[in-house]
Amino acid sequence: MKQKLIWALARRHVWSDANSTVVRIVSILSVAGVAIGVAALVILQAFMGGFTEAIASGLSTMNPPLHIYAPGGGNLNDFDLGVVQEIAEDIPGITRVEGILEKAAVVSGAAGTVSGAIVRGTNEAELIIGIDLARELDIGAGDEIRIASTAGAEISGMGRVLVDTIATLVVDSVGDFGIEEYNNSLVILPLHISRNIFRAQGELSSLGGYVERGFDPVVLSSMLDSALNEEYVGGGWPVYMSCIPYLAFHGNLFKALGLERIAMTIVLALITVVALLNLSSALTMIALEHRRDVGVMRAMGLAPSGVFSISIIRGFLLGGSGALVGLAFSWISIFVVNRYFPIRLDGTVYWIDVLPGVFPVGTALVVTLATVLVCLIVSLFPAFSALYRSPSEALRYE
Amino acid sequence: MNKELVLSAVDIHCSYGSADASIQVLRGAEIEIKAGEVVAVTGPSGSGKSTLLHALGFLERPDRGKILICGEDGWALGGRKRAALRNRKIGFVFQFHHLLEEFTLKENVMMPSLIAGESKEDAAKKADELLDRVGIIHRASHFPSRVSGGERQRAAIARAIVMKPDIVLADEPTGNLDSGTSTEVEKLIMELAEDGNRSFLLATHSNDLASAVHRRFFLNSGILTEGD
Ligand SMILES: Nc1ncnc2c1ncn2[C@@H]1O[C@H](COP(=O)(O)OP(=O)(O)OP(=O)(O)O)[C@@H](O)[C@H]1O
Ligand SMILES: [Mg+2]
Repeated sequence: MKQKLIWALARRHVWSDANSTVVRIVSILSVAGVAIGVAALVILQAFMGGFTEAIASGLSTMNPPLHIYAPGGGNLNDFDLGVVQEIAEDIPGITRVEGILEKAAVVSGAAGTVSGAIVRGTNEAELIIGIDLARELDIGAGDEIRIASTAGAEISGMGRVLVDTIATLVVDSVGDFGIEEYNNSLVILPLHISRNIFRAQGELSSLGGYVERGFDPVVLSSMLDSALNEEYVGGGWPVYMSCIPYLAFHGNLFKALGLERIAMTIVLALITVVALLNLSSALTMIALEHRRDVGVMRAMGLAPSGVFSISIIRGFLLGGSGALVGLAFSWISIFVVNRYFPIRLDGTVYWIDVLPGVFPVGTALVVTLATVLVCLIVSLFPAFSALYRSPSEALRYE
Repeated sequence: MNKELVLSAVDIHCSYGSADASIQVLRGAEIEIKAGEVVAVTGPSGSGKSTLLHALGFLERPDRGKILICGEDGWALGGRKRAALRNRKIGFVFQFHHLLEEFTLKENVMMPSLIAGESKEDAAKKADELLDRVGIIHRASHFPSRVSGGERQRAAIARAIVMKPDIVLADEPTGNLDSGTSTEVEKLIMELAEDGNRSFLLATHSNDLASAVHRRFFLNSGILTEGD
């Protein structure tokens, strides 16, 4: 009952039908301030995090998370694939390793259309073409495309000659690969077909390793890399292979995004700091407005600890409701933006064409807890000054 | 110790301000009040009546002197026990009603019971009875800012006696009321003193009130003297 009473007192002090206008205004303003600060932080993290995530997931759905290659740019072959597969078997978390043959080619579709493309041979059974490339070539699933390559070389009676290959193939499906760059340039087809097109039997341009859910590709990649190193360099072999996590190709991008995110977080955290300063002046004002009331409560027998608690709870209520309003506001705005007003990006610049907002649960939790904690800390000053003021002095306050 | 004695204060000294610029407000005040007695303190404005009442109610720590309420020395107790002593034994009425503005009259009257840890239902029942007794039950759910000065002071009196305290310290309870209303409130105080066998210490400017009480004290220049 007593705790309930103290909460009721604190609640009425910050919000009641009979509050003075001053108290109402400072209460509303301080809640709004905290809400804006929290919402700004959460929304920023939602969209910056969503951007990074969308790019990372776009890159990873199209590429195996582990990239195994020959440093120096040389080609690999089926034998190398066998070696890596054997080594990878001993590393838990790597599910399988496959060969990839990827080269540039010229593709033409409906009459008169032609475009450069990246032709990637994988263990895929179908021919999938990027959606933007398909549009450019004016074709759809079931249509024919021609892939022309000049990369093949053959030894004949005339010596080594370059051979053009033109293959006519049927498109099985048109794919949205998530990232503009892939959508407008990628053709995925079975490995053996790409070997025919590029006349590269037995060759592979790189190997791709897949990772079991829950395992960190960065860790697995360095494990595989050192295992490869041991096998080749340690075994006295001249050739060796390296492994890096695929996203490391774009390491600079992710670092830049991370840096930008930190910088903006600091700026917006300052907004929250200002909001909390505002809250602290609001609490001081509310404490002044209720100084005499506290004196009356003490005359009626409220213990000093109750006086202290009331001050702290006022801070908790204002800060807590500010944080809650901020969270609700940011959740709703993220939802509404995603659903009804998606933010369109220029895919050629940003790789992705819709900026997705992902509610950052962790950040939201941290921001809320930190805000409430700081609110409690700012409440300490009015709480202690109320505690040390004699009831008589409080009663004389006009 | 005399069991009848509700309040006894010996050699109370109170001052305000720092050591070099201090105002000596009470210089050795002594007072004893028995159960059921109604006592008035008069004196010019600024003579220290409020200070005396605050000191007797353990709201302001005197520089010197000993105060016992029902035999208990509040200043010798810790903050929590002193608060409990105020809650159970002492009722306060202030010059400017000092009702809590954000609570209705009934909630104001319930407050001391709630502080004592009583259930909401019990507190509400007691508050209703008292609001009825002081004649403002029809205003129970109003906020203090929406009722008249006399009604506020009645609510403040109800709040002061809800815990059935042994003594009520009332600081100019009628000081802010017009003469008609003040007469009614004075009458109420005298009735409440009689039917509860409750002691009252009233600081007042009002001659009517002062003449109605059992004993009178006069405070001037920090000296408290009995008689007129
Ligand atoms: N906090 C304080 N600091 C300094 N002086 C004070 C303080 N409180 C009261 N005083 C002084 O103490 C003296 C006694 O004040 P007190 O309020 O007790 O008088 P009072 O008899 O109740 O007056 P009134 O009839 O106007 O209510 C006054 O001179 C007042 O100015
Ligand atoms: Mg006074």
